[in-house]
Amino acid sequence: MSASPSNVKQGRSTTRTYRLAVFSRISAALAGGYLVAYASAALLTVILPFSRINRAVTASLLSFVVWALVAVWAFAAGSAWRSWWPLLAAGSLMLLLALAFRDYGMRP
Amino acid sequence: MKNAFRQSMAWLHTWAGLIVSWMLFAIFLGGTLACFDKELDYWMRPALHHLAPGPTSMDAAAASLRTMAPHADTLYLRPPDARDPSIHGFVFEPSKAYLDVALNPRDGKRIPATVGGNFFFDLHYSLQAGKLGSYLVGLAGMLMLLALISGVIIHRRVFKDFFVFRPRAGGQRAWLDGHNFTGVLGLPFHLMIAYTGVIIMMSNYMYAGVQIGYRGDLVRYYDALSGAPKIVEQHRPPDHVASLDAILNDAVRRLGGPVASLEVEHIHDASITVSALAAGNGKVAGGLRTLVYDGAQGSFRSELSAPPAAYRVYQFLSGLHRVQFGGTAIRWLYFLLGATGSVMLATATQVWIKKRSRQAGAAGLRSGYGLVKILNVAVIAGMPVASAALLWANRLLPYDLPDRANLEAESFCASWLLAAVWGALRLQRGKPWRDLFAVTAVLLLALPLMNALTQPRSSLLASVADRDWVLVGVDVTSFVLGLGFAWLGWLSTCTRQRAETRQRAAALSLTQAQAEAP
Repeated sequence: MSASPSNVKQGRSTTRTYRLAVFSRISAALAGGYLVAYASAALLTVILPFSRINRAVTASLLSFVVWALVAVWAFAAGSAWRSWWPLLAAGSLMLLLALAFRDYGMRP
Repeated sequence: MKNAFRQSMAWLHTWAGLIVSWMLFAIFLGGTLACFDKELDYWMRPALHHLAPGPTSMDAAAASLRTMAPHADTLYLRPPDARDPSIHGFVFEPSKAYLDVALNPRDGKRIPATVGGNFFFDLHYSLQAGKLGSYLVGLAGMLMLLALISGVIIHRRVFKDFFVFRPRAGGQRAWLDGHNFTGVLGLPFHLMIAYTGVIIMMSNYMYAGVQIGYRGDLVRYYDALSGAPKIVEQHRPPDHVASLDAILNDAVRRLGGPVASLEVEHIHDASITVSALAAGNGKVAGGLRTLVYDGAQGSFRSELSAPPAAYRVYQFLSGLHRVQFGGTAIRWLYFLLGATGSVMLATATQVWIKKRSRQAGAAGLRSGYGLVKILNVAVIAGMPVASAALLWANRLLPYDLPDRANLEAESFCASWLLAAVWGALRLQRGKPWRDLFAVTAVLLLALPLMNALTQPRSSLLASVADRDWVLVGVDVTSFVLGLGFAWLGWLSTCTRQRAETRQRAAALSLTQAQAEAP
């Protein structure tokens, strides 16, 4: 699982480890990326200095940029574990913050 | 460190790209064809080709829609415009399929059903698979965005490689050059189309803003977007229903330009309301102004306030994707860039397999490599066959068949399946690419002839005489694309031969070397 691109060589590209590593990175990029994107949209809906509808739309528009950056980062991380845990941590933290201030997020 | 990063991006590019490349190819080709959805709609509806001159009746169209969907609460009507002479009706009826019909602008009668060019549009945004399909397309769009970003990072010499094309180098090198050329040529377009494509349907899959800002209440969210005041039901039928034609005329006069669509809400209640949305008039974001009328008396009630700024940004971004703003020239530009993107995706899957040709050859067809090879030929060479077959089905199926639109869609699916099976079977020995390209070429080259035989009044010659340039355009484009596919078929025959000659030569020199060895 801890295979990273630099220690997986072309010749071994068909091994089970390599397939698992690819699967782990892609799911981190997609599922982990979605979690962070969703959480960032939630948090931005709370903190952006606009009116409510503008906050909600702007947050959603930006969340896909966040997703793309996070996915790139998930592939660049040194190991599969290091590609997963910061995403889970950052996503949960932002989501918790957004939920904690959700009444403030509903201001007009 | 820097190298490791680039290597990880190569990894991302390879795998994020491969898993969605076939789906993206179908989405790209569907979207490319959907640039001319209304033109194909028109070609596929011969009943619209020779309309008797006369006034347009929105009222007849609305009456016809109401008999088709008696329980619907809301009707959408699109008046005829420069690209589509029919009145288009859209209706949602509770617990029934979405009704989308073309109506005769004179008497409101339904035009014989066809899936129309809209088929490619549906395929493009939902793979014809409803909500699940739209999630898959959204995910594919996201992966495309990732493949583009990582592609730019791994590509050190973007500018230099743009001018490098070595078709004679053969194999992986030539495919890679082709992939780089088409990828870099369309890069700004591809980045734009991937991002705007993902955000277009964002309310389908990015709920966070609605969840936090509106406690998940989508209705309130949409009300805030449209800025429309809430209509209060009066729970009694309207004693009078105003003429939609009169409302349309008034709206055109007040807006000083054409109306894109009329929305009639609460049609069974005294609170019946008609909204007229202004046409975009070349604005990327589309029409800005909406006029609201009392649907019972026909009197002008109010103009909606301009949409919120962020929503305007969204409309601009989705407008860039929907390309309803710049007329035929821009649509052709999108068509060509979309075709370039399709070629980029087709070459990408070839690069993947050529790079692994040794392993793929050893593993045979019953392996992951074989699956990639089969999908390559089934999707990339198969979909054009199906798309051309759809146009044939449209002309060959009798016009009075009640289930005509479904039969057209089924002929598309059946011909794709057939092409895929043929391609897979011929991979073992044979030239599947050549076969399928040849079939597409024949179908496209012969389309004008088939059209002339089945619809003599809409034939190429008749259309030139009538100066109906849309019909001329479809026939001529089909013929030119047919020539293109014939060329592709010829190319795939030759490259295969060249590769075989090379292999034979290599094998020969090897045996010679072995024979000469002591």
